[in-house]
Amino acid sequence: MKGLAISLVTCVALLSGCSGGSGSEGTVIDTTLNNTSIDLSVSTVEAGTVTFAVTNEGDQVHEIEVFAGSNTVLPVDKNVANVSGLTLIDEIEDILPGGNVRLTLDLPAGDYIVICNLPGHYEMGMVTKLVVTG
Amino acid sequence: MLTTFVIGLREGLEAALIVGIVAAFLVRNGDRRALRAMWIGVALAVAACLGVALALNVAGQRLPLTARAAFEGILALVAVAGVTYMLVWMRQHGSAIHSDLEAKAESALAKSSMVALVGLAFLAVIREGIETAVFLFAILDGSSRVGAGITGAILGIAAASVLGYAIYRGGAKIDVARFFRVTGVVLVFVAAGLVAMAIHEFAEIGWITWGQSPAVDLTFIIAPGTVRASIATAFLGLQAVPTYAEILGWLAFVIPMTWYVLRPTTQRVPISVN
Repeated sequence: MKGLAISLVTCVALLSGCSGGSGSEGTVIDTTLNNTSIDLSVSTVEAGTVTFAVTNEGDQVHEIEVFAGSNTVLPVDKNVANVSGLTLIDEIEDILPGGNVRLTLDLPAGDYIVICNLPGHYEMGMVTKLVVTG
Repeated sequence: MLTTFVIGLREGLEAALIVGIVAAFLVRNGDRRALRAMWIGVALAVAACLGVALALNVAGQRLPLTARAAFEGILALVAVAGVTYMLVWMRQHGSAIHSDLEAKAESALAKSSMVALVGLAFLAVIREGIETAVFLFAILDGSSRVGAGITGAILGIAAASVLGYAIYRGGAKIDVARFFRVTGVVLVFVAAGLVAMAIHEFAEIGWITWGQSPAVDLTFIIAPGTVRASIATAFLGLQAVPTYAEILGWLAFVIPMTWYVLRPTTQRVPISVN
């Protein structure tokens, strides 16, 4: 039962450690996932809180991964984009066809790439770029 | 609905395997009290996961990546330690346990071992549980096919539980040496998968930077979105395209531990009450 107590404490600690101004979504970017593309409603936003309002309009499960980086042309290795060396900012996996999810992040100025890196999906064109200005 | 069924199955199966084996193990030791403690632990873990996910949902928040990945990665390693401990115990005591020992109940398992096993079942549930609960709430919020989606996910988790229960029933019946051998191998693979997952989580937040190129495309076994992939993922614990670091960590656990579990016993260990 000791493990139980520790884990519950961990849960509460993680919960209270949540980042972000509660409820504030900042700049909302409509983000559409198709099987062959990721479309953002804007390609440039100001630094600060940014929310990707994601809709999966494809007929497959997709994911959204946001990496720091400016180059959308990544080496493809074993059917996935080789992202080693890139810093992952955050991700949401298992976005169902027709599903809507929201990913709120604090983004400093810089270049970012948004990809779905399920096997084969990057090669099909599921990548785009976001520029965050300071 | 199939989509969410597969996800529910994938998320639930690993926990169901561990809980099923721990339950069978406790029953074999005639430790009904510990079994009850285990079920209370599992119920609390499920409640805690739903509670945390609900709170996050109400607050409109997600755990930040660092907290999420560190939490899952560290719990995975703790679970690996728990499973390894169980494997060693099974190995040392397995050949010595006779069916008549089951009647002697309580003395078979020291209190510390019992607490460790109960804790392991709790951990197994809570580790993937929070993310699964968050996923369930996300369907409720966002999917255009809420009813079918939720039904599928719950059926998937239920199917995983049925498999866990089948292992428990089977494990409580078949002869003890075979039970330890079979579950031993299953546990080795589950734990190796947890090692690979911990490496995956730690790599996501930059704690591991070595060997991060894709090593091998396993989509022919783990084709995302299929029932077969869910089962393969639960048993192997590997991503569809694992990195070199993940594969290496996986093999570093599987090879010595499979040998440890399957090597023939040279002599019968006398019954020692731990």
